[in-house]
Amino acid sequence: MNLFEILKQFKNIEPDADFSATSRRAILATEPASLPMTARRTIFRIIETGVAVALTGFFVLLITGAFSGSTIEPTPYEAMNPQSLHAEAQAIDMQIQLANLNYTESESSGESTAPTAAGGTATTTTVGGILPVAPLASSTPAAATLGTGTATASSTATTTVSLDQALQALSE
Amino acid sequence: MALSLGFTAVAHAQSAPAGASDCTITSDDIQAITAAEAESLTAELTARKALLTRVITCAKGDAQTLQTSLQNIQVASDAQALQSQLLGKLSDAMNYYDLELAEVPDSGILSTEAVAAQVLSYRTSSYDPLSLQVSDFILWSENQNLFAAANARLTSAGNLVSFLETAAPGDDLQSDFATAQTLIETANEENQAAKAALLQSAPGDQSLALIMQSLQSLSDAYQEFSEVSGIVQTLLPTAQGS
Repeated sequence: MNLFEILKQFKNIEPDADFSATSRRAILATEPASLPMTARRTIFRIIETGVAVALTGFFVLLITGAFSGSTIEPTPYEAMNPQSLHAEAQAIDMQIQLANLNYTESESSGESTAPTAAGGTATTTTVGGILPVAPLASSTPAAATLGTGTATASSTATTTVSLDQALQALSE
Repeated sequence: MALSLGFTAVAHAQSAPAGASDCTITSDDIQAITAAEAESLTAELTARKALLTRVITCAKGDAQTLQTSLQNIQVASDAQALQSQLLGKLSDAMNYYDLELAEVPDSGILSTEAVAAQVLSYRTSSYDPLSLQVSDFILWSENQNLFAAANARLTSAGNLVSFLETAAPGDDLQSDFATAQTLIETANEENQAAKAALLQSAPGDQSLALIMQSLQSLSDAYQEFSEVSGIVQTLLPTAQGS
């Protein structure tokens, strides 16, 4: 008898008749476990379902971008947020303007000599003083006004002068 | 150009002395001395003393305002020594103005002219460079928050760009970001150079030039960030409208 013949005979194996009867009776005698729906269990089920629905909805909204612009917007998008980019760029722009102002003042801090209407020269200096500064040489030359008195008040408009221009006029 | 860099007159601590209305000297104030000169020597002397006192008081007010501004800024520990040094120099300037003011009441016409010339000379040789140096230091200190924000943005944007490049490779996104990165690195180097110049008490013009360069590089970097942002908006619908 070869191996295949032996294996085919295995299908004819049957349990003992008494064992089968005992087992059947034991199974049929067992009542199914009853799970009474208590109030606590009902509430738990409702909460469980609600949380599942809420989480599902949250992820759906997150994926579709419904939170864009809100406080729970995904962080990576904030890195390229046009509004915050613009705000920072404006702040830099403001600092550049302040730097330009400092530069303008530093450029004009050295003494500059300009010809006056009277043919002489007037020295003007503008740093840390009052802005804007109207050059004395163009309308009211300090030397002429204080020194010779050739300039007339009635022919010139009132202009603001810097502290250094005032000091220059007072030193002559 | 998204960022306009035009010059506008903005309020600045240095040019906003206390009691600015009293410190607005006009040509009429100077012409009043001429009128007084024609009247009498006494009138001329009185007018000169009044204007000289007013001018020196305003100059002291400028220094006081600048000192207050300098005192109010928050600086890193390695720059605090310079801050203290500059505060001390401004105190010296105010003391100088006080000394000159004390000379005015007992001065004659020639003496008032001499005091005016001394104060003018002092301002030109000492105070003006100091004022510029302090202004540069304040400007640089105020810039540090901008640099911190830019570097933080560079890091976070780098993460986003890396992710997007993996998901959807594109030349523009990577090249624009690389340009922004280079510009910020340049800005950082220029910012550090400006700091070194300030700490070494280099001439104000030199420090200011470095500060301006660093700000310009930073501004250019944000233009590139803007380009990157535009590309991100197209790649990530969720980023639109944000």
